[in-house]
Amino acid sequence: MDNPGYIILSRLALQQRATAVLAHNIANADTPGFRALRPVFAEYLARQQRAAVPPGGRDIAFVQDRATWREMEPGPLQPTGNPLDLAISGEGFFVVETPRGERYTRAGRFSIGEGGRIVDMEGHPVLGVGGNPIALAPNDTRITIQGDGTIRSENGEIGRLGIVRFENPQALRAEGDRLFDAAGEDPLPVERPAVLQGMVEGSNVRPILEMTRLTAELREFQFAAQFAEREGERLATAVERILRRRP
Amino acid sequence: MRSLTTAATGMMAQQNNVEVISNNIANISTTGYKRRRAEFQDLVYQNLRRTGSQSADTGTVLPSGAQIGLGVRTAAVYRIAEQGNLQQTENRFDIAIRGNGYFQIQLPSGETAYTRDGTFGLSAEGTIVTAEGFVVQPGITIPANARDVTINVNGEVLAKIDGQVQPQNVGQIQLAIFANEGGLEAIGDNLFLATPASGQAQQGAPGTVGFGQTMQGFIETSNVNVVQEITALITAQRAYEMNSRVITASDEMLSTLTRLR
Repeated sequence: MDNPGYIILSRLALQQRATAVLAHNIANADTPGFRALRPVFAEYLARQQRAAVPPGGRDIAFVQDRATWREMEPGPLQPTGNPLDLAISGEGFFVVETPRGERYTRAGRFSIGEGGRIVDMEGHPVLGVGGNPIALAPNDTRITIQGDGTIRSENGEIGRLGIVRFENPQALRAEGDRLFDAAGEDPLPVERPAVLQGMVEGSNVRPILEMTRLTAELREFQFAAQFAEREGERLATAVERILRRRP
Repeated sequence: MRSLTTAATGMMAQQNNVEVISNNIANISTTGYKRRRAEFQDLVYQNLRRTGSQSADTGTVLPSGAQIGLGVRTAAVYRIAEQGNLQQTENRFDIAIRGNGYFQIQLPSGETAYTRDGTFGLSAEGTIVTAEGFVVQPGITIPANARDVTINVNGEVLAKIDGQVQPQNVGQIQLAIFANEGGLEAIGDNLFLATPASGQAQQGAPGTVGFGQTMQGFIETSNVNVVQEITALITAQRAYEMNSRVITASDEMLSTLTRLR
């Protein structure tokens, strides 16, 4: 009988989770290679119990955050001047090797780690086309990286960065530390990668949008809460009136 | 409510950012200082996989589950190794490097440190030393009877000695370059140490391929750009405010809930 209360409760619970997603976006407005997340709302239809479905009777619809959607548009490029800061223009991900397996990232803030290998900020080796780490010799000092990901120094060619793409980038799972897990998707090589040296791709979070959404979400939450309150009042009045009519 | 703690991590990260910016601004007139930038990373995610995301009753199936991130953290503070401006001082032992490279300094511990701060002087024995008195490699001693000293772009130290027509070559300053300058470890006093991340130092004479030139009578100013730092400061402050707005909004939501009758 009190379906409206439960429906509005589903909305309130969801709104809180939506705000958590938004807070994460705003917190990462300055994280290189970050991709903004959006909750996707969907109705969840439930057949009304015990109602004989009279003509005009309907299913009731709860709301549910079915999934999160990742905005895949590129972030702004920030020049840094460091030779091992790389950005990918267009689609593609760098491949790094972690103890948990291969992971993918758009944040090309690399440096030189143990044994001259090119590593990311956490020290995971960056993999080349063949799936092997790329190592610089101690006497390689002037590193240039060409658009297709080929790494050269004054002593000749060193290797080529592996750049991969995915049929369905939405299926990737973010893992933190700017890494994505393929989650069963097969990485495909990018035919013509465009690697830019001395640049880092920023976060694609647009603060104005996020702040507007925050205000909207807050008001929607208050509206829903108000609705719940009214619904409570309605029930109370109904009960009161029924009681008063009793002989 | 997750958004409260998430926004708190955002505020902490921005606070770090402001600390880095203020260090840059404080070092605006430090010779050879390289500006720094804080670098952020997203924190772990919670995967809320609900059965509903597998079903297709509304038509679209999203293969991804619902992911909620937990915020941000500071991953690193890195140096931007841009060339600073060269400022003329007319001081004989002020040497700036135009281009790539670091001076090599012998620390009292025997280690070699690297610096781009070329405000040098002479020790009691006539050796070229830093402002702290550490010997500049390879330890060049100016003869006591030298009248004038010229250091050319190749780092050769030429002493003009009384009674001699030709200036005497008393040594050549050697520079070191690294594959990844950003990996050098700062130890204060404008000095850096080599680390596995920076790669091994490669030595060479100034002016040769890959090495910068030495400029006598100049110092390299810091590469801090006030305008850039102030804009970064404004951005950081606004980002901080935005995160605090999220906290306010979450708080308002909670208070709406508690006020529910």
